[in-house]
Amino acid sequence: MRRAGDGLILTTGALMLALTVGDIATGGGVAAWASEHLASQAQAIGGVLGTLGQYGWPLLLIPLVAGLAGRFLTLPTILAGGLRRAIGLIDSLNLSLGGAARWFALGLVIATATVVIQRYVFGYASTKLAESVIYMHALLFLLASASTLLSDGHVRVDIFYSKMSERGKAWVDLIGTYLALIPTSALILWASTGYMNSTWRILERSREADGLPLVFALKTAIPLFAILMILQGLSMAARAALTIAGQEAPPTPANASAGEM
Amino acid sequence: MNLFIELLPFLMFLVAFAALLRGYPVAFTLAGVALAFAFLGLGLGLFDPVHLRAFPQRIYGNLMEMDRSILVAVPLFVFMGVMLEKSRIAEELLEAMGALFGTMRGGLGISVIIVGALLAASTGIVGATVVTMGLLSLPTMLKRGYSPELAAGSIAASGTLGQIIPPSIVLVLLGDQISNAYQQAQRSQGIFSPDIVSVGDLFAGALIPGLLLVGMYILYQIGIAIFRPNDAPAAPASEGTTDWGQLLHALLPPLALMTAVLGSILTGVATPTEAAGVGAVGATFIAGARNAGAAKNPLPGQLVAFAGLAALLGLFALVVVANIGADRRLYVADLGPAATMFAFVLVAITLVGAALSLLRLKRSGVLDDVMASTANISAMVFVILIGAALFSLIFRELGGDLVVQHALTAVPGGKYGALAVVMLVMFLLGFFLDFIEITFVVVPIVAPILLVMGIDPVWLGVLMAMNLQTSFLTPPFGFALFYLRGVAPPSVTTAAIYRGAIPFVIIQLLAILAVVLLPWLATALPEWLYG
Repeated sequence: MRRAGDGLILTTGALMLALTVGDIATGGGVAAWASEHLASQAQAIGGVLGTLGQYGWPLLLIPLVAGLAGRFLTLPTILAGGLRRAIGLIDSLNLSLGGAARWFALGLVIATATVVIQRYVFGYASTKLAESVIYMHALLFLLASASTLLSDGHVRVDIFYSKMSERGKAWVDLIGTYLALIPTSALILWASTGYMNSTWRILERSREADGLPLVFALKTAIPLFAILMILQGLSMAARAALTIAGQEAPPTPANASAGEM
Repeated sequence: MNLFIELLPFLMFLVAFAALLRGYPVAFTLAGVALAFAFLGLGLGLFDPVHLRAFPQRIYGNLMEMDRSILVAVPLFVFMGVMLEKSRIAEELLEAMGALFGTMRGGLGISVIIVGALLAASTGIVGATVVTMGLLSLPTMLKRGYSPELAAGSIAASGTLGQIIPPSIVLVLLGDQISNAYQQAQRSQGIFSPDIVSVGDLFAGALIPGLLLVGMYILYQIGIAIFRPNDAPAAPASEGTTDWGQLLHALLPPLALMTAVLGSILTGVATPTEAAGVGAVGATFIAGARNAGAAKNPLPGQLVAFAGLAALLGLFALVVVANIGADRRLYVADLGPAATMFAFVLVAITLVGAALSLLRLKRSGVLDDVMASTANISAMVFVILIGAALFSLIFRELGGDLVVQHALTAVPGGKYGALAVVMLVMFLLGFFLDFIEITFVVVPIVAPILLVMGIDPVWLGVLMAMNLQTSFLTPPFGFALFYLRGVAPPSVTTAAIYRGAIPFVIIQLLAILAVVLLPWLATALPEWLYG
């Protein structure tokens, strides 16, 4: 049975494999290209993203304005339709990313057990494998966080919330997103710029000589997490805005089941 | 103005509390409030913006570096617990235990508590345990004429055992926070080669108090059966035909897994993370052998999965046996080429068994559910840790830790008075907040202060864990009661659930008192095990 994200994780795995094989086949050609060009390529991409953010940020306010306006007047069809389309796009993006990240849960289990068997039975330790456990652990919660928000898996104090009307809940979600979620994520994003520059410039690797050379990529997951949370926050706010305006909001996808402790 | 600055930390705490009650996800609410007060602090010149600049690096250092690998135990234990839950072990255990004890007066109640304790030691997921027992045992107990209060209270209380009986996620997170606090406390006293307290210490410390609770719960059931026999009647003898085969089938897998995981942690052979990783693989084999989630279970697949599990156990048995009496750590390579060959054959069988189990579980959808639950719980826990880290950082920068320190040292009764206040505050917060928020927000602020005052870290951790467990059970907002309300039939009123929980809350308080008065209940086992 195929689920969202299965294809993405397969593609990513195949890509990694192809790069590794290519690197071996060309006698380190891929690694050489990376150390030569990757930093400048990344800087160019980062520059484009930065410009997008610089001029695009007012778009983030649309759901807030729509929610506040929707309290008093009917939303124009084009705005409501736009919100719905944005919700659909963001949700499907985060569902496939979260669905792909979910495989790291299995990866963690297999890698940890392998490390244990290697260490206790064969007396052999692989730094790369041990580090990959931490990488997968970090990517699991950083990339699955947005889809967890979508399935309402981030714990709330719901003593009062659970008794509120749909519209009351929508107000909490709308205001909370703009006062808490987006500012926090924006802080993480803004504060990441400095060290993103330095970690990509030197393509930071593990402190261990035989460790993974991908610390720069792992650190990039932190601002990526912030971006995904901002996007999912927008989707949540757009749903809330539609509810406040008395219009039908798209239902949350059912297959994203929330966990319980 | 000065007074305002001094009151800022209090204000921050109050605002956070009020904001949390609005119901927006906790992780972001904590961070949002922290951010607002950071800007306030910036405006008043109390706060250095460099702390905000360094925040992503802090996330990296707190959560993503190699020396934080203890945190990986959380997703691994969740994976193992959800996997066991999906293999319907709880259902079988309840049925088998019910048949074994049901014909005694009070027997169903006792069997619920024993199953709760077994599930606590193998899955440790409170919500799942309460829901399963609420769906299966509650109707049976009511049908047999148990008082709804007693039935509901027993189920809710047994479910919360998952928090205190190791391995438990609460103990991993709490142990990690206490361990950091202990190092900080010793550094502030100028001790630069500090003692270390580990999650393993806390596991060992919580074991005896956990078993004590199980014993007290059972005594309570026996007491009811003697003094109020109508509340806990026996089942007719015709329903007591114990199927020993079924009992073993239900009991053996979780028992074996529990012994292996807990045993390897307590004896100090493996770290909690390592044990959890192997435990998760074991749980996958068990679920695969039972073909969890599928209607049929063809025999060949069963055998291959069991062969995989046996080969995995065989691998570890091989080195354990080889190391008996050895004067240095031996590995298979030290045992000669035949042993090495044999080990490789075992690895191959393990791999085949694992591949088949995973294939079966992917086809039935169980693997997807387990991975999704693990991802969601992992994200929930660690994103709260991120939000709480920002909160405590800014609380501290605004002088909050000094305020708390002054307050705690001003409490009469020295360190015990301070401890009592902290425990009371945690208990009250537990009415509203989840254990995760309390662990991540309150513990880093108060624990270093208490530890400097000379309180034993393991004792403190166990007391806090028992306290948080009790808050799960305390009306009106105990989480275990909510879970039970969700699945209990309408004939069991909410008031009956609350009334049923109260005797167990009293038992909890008595047990906490026992650990307060007799600290060795918590500290003796870790001292004996680790010296």
